[in-house]
Amino acid sequence: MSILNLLIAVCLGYVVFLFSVAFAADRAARRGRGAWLRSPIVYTLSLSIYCTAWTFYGAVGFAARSGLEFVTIYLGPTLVMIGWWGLLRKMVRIGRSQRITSIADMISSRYGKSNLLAVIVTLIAVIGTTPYIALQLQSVTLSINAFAQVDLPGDQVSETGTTGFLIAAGLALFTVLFGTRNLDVNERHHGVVMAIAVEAVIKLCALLAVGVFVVWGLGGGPADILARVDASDIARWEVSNSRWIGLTMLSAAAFLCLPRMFQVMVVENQDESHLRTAAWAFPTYLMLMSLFVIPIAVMGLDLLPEDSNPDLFVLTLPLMHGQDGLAIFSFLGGFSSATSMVIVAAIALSTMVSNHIVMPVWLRMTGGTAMMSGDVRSVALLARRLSIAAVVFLGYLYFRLSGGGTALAAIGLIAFVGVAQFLPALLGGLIWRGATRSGALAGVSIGFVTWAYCLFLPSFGPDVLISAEVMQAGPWGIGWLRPYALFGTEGIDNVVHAVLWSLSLNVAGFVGVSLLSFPTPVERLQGAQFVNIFDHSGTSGGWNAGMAQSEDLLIMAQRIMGPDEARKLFARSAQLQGLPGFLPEPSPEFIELLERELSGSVGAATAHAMISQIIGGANVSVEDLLAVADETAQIMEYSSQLEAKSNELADTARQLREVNDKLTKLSVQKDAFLSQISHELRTPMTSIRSFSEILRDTQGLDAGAQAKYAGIIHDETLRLTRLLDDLLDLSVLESGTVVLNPGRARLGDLLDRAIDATGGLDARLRILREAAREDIVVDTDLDRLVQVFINLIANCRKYCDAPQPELRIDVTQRDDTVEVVFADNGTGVPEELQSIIFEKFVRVGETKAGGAGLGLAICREIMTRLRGEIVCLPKPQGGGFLVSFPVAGGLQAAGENVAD
Amino acid sequence: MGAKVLLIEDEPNITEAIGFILSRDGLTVKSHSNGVDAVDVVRREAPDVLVLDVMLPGRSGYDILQDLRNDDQTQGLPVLMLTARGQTRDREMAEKLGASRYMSKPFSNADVLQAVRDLLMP
Amino acid sequence: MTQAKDPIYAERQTYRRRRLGDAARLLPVLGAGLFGLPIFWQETPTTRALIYVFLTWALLCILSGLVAWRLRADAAGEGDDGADGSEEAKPEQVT
Repeated sequence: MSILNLLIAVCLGYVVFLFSVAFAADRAARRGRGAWLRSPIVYTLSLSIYCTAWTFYGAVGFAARSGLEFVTIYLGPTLVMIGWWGLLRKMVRIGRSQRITSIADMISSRYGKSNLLAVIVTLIAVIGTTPYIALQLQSVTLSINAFAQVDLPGDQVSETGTTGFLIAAGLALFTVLFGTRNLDVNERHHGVVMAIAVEAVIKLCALLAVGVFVVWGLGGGPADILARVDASDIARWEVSNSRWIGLTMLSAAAFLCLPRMFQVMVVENQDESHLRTAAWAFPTYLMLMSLFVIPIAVMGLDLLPEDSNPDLFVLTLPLMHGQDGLAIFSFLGGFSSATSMVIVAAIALSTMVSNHIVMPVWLRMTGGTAMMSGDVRSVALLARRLSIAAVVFLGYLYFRLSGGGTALAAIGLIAFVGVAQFLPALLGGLIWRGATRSGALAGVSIGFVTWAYCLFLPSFGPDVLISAEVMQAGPWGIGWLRPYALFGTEGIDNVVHAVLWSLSLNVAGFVGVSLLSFPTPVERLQGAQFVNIFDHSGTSGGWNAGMAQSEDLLIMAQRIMGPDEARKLFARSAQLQGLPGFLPEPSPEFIELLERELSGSVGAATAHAMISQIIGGANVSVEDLLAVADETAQIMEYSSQLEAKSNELADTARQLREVNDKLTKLSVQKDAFLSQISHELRTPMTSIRSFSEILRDTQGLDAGAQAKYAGIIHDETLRLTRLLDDLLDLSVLESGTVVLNPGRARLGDLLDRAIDATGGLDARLRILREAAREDIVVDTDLDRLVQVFINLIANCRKYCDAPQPELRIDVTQRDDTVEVVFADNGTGVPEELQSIIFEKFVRVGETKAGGAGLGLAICREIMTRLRGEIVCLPKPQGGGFLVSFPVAGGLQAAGENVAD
Repeated sequence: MGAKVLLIEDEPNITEAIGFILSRDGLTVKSHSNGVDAVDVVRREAPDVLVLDVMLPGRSGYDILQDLRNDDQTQGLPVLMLTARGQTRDREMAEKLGASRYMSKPFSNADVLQAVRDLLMP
Repeated sequence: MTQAKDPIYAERQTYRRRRLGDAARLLPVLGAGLFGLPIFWQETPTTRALIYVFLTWALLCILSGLVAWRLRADAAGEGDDGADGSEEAKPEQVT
């Protein structure tokens, strides 16, 4: 019990230590004192997450079963690292310049930023990594049980679930805390990387310590160990050629394609030159990790009981020989291997899941634009955190459901084959410009299906996912489709078989479809940028280059914001960063601030494009350019819309103004009209009132005066009545509700009637007529026509100022129209009044009792109803008025018109 | 007594009525029916009180009043304005231009007589 | 006089740098060949293979380190030149 308690205490202490390392590193990085975090040694050590618990514990087990073959798992990465100049450098450069966030992002970026491709890569990565996380949980659980067995033999199974769950929860917490602290463009996690580097040192030292103890403590030095090897079961070199070559290639491929490796190698890379150090340091690290594997395996086989698990020799050898301290150290090594793998894998996968699955879905659901607002930011962080928890939980679930055991041990290589399916698309995209999105989709999909069918699904054992019958005879009895013997290739190792067929078909699909399909413009541009990355990007910048960038940024910002504004902004930022002078370090925060400031002036996409042109050698991507074009188009559309709107507004305003003018005019007219009416009514009433008061109040008024005043009152009453009649008549005529009574008569007779009505022929007015020309039969409203005539003749009687007044009535017929001219020998209507003579209340000359000024207005209305007209003739043409109207049919049309 | 009242009014019946009322009270009444030369007539006649209609042929009573008020000779002349248009605007206009009294038609004879008397004896 | 020397020196530098790059690219091929050699061995004791593999491994690490070191030295020299050049170019950009 004591050693288990001690183990748990040490373990907890170690976890606290890791938390503080991560915290300190994060804080240092945020304060800009992270120079030591950028050391190439840290980078090299972070690469060691390649060595998981599977390799820490499993390598010895592997060696105990198959001898030297285990070393192939390390030879592949060694070859990749020493060839960094050709391939890794290119990947890192592209990763930096394109701001790649994951392997899914890398592949999708290369193929025109295809999100479908990214989603498929993400799914494969999740499927391939989940069992791997389960494997780590299992190894930690097993190792704890190994200690428990020492204390309480036979009572280990009950605690398996709890231990696994606690570890999973702790890892999820750590990853969420340090993996999603910031969401900067580069996706770099200083705290996590530092913790991993520390763990890398721990696991190497642990393994070396166990090795030294085994070789010199248990054995008698190197010579003794070599002798024991020669005497053991693995003494003979019986490595299968295909497995030796196949596994080396596979591990090399996996080293490039594993999401967690891509994360530390490309995404977390601080400086391209770190690769120089890693080029020799990492192979050395791998070599040291493998150095004592064979000795430990041989000593374990020699010294430990037959049934002991060779996977735990690293732990059980010191434990069985009373080296509790060493055993705990060794446990910490394994613990480190497991935890660092889970943490980085969870970060890498959560980045992929949230960037390529959750965020696109969220953006589509909310219908929001892809603006990087604070809102989106918080959603992205939440998605990242949930994804981390989900990934770790999936691993735990897999661990519980598979029940641990040997089935899980095999999953390491199986997962390698799965992620290796990215390799053709990844490498092809880096070296071959002809590679297309369709090709990549085809290759990855075919490879994935082949891998699942030939290796992954059968790995669960017969009858779990694929029936034993299919395994034996192939689906539907088709022998050449047997999962372990595709196309009759029997007798090969299962893993090598799967590697052979999945990668062959993958490459065939990739190349074939690429050759047949045609890339989109974005794909072609991205392809050119990826393949020729070294042609158009300078060497990566260190700190000094950063300052140069700041200067470039300042120059650019000055052009956009104005010199004073820009200098102020830069100086303020420099002050905030605690730097002297006016140039701040181009930290992500500063770049973000600047981009935000600039986007206020030139739009977000443009600002992004301009800044990324200067920062970190990041090239302006086609997407950026498209976004700029799009933005410009949007602005143009918006402004044209604005213009249309303002035109519309001006139109409306003009119409409103017109209506308002009309209303004002109408209102003025109405006021004037009311005022006129008032005047016309009050004037006779004044006389009536005044004289009636005189008659009433004046005593002794003589009879003559009495009669005269009564007469005035009588006349004024008649005037009032006439005025009211006229007003009513006019309003009926104007409103169009007048009822016309058609009739037929000779025009001469009508004129006779009118003259009789105005007092007949007398000496005061001579009326000249030509009876012969008046012999026209007209078909119209006779009474109304006569009313017009009466008005005109009466006017003449009233207003003609000639000493011998004469009225000439002249009738002419033109076609269907009759024209009657009433011309007198007076001065006529003054020229300035001719245009308004037909308006209401307009009078010529002084008021005489009897005239209200409505007569001509009524005449005009009547003539309009009769489909004719009345106009005032100027003096030179004879003076007077011209009345014209249709001989017949005028009423019919007018009636119809009214009916309308 | 014997004070002179000038009446400028275009409606002959009203002129006659007012003339009758004022004469009966012992006033000398002169009348004029046109607005155009009204100011000249006022100057020439130099009445003690002026009764002025607003709606006159040729020139509005307001214009005449304004001219009278701008002239030293007639500045203090008491003026009774008569209007048949009876709107508040007219009353305000008359007050603004300096009419001594304002009456709308139809009026009571007694009111007119009283108004003229008031104006004669301030 | 010193200016006349520089181009020749730079050209030699570039040339050597390119060949070094070639060497760096060929290194994994050499490694693959060396690591692949044991498949032709018949009836060899594991101990011999073990020693061979680890010696080869160590050799490759050293070679890789050498190449990387040479490349770094060249890059440093070139980097200094580049820095000088850019500093001269900068004022032209401002004005």
